[in-house]
Amino acid sequence: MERFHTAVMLKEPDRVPIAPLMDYYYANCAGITAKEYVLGDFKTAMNAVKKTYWRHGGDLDMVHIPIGRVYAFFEPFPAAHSGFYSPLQVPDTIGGSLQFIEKPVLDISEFDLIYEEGFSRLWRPLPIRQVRRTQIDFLQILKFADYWENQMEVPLYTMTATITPLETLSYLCGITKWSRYIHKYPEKMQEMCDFMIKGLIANDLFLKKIAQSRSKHSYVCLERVSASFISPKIFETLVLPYLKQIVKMNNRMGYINLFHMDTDWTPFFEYFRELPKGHYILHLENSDIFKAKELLGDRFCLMGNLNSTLQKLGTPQQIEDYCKKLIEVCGDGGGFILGSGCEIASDAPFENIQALVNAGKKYGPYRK
Amino acid sequence: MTEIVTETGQINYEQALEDLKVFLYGHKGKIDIKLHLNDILFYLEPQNLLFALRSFSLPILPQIIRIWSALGFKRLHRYFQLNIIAVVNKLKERAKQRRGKHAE
Repeated sequence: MERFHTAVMLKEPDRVPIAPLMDYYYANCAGITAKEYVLGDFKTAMNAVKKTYWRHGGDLDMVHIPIGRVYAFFEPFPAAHSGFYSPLQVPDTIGGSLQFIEKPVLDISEFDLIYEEGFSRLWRPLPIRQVRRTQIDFLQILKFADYWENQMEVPLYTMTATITPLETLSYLCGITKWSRYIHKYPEKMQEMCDFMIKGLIANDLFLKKIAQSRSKHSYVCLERVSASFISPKIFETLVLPYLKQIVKMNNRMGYINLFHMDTDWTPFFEYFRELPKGHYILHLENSDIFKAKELLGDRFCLMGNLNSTLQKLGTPQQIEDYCKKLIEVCGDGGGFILGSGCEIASDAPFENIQALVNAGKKYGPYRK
Repeated sequence: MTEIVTETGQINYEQALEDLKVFLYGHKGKIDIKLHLNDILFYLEPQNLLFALRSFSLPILPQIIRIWSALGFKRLHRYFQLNIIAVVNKLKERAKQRRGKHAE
């Protein structure tokens, strides 16, 4: 816990924390199918996390709650891939991961109906017994958090999640329509974002209060509003103002802003300097992390970014070499967490992930 | 816009609950927050009762007490009404509507 948070405070801990984000990889590593992991007894998923932790020698400085099952049946808010809005497929194979079947469920002509009837209007039929059981599951998630944070002193990636309104709309409208709407009807999209942000912040607030996480990481999903998807102008008007509101709440509640930044954010790095003072983790995927160190390293802790191609197809030596470079450049002076870009590929070979762990142990210690 | 967390960290829970309600059920949407008999019966089914009891373990008791004291009974109750009970009732209502449409 201390090692991880020292890095977040932009200082040098005893060594660079080793914190690859895992979810379906836990199932793979424990030898169970994605279906057993997501839809089985919570205990099965919990044991998969423990098994993975110990198979990697107990050297991981962070674990993650089995989030797939939360997405599937618990989340009535359209935070990323909620099963309330779109079908999800869970393969019954080892090494598989949950698949989000993107089908547009919202048209811009229905926005007025959403203001009147809310997003529950878009819920699809779900097996009620499964919804109820997943609601009970939340107690097990609290137990899981207590085990890792209080008994093992290992921080959790996050216990809460929020998302910017524009990104949520991409899942609901479908990426093609969404791209058209943001160019053709920016005012209508802005009006909808104004409507959504209050509810998204309120939901996150209650999750924080209920989860009572010791790690105090506030996950903000930043996947489809990067430079890979939108222009700087759209980012300035339809993303940044809402991101600032989310950050303001996190800062006021004493939380660390954990930005999960998939795809490429490099052209938008300058905007991050506009964010208010506070504690941040920029978890980068395909962005230029070395440039991030240069431009943002004085204010933001960086996390990442062994990408999924290397995880799955690289050799242990290639992984060691890349991690060494990450530690030497990004770890200089502290403020760096060695991890994956996004999450560990569900079918990544064990020895490749162990190569990341070994590199962290070999090159990560700071000379005091 | 009323901020739900002030500069000093004070939380306006009533506003947050209202924002939550409007987001999920809209300005005019109807919500059913009653715990119906069949819901209670669901939890009393032996397998579900066992499941709930197994989920409820000693280490989480202090956490539940912390949640209770952080939010208070009234707010926690309202949160569960909106985010747990009303969700199930809305899903049932929508399933009923869908069955009605198919019957037509």
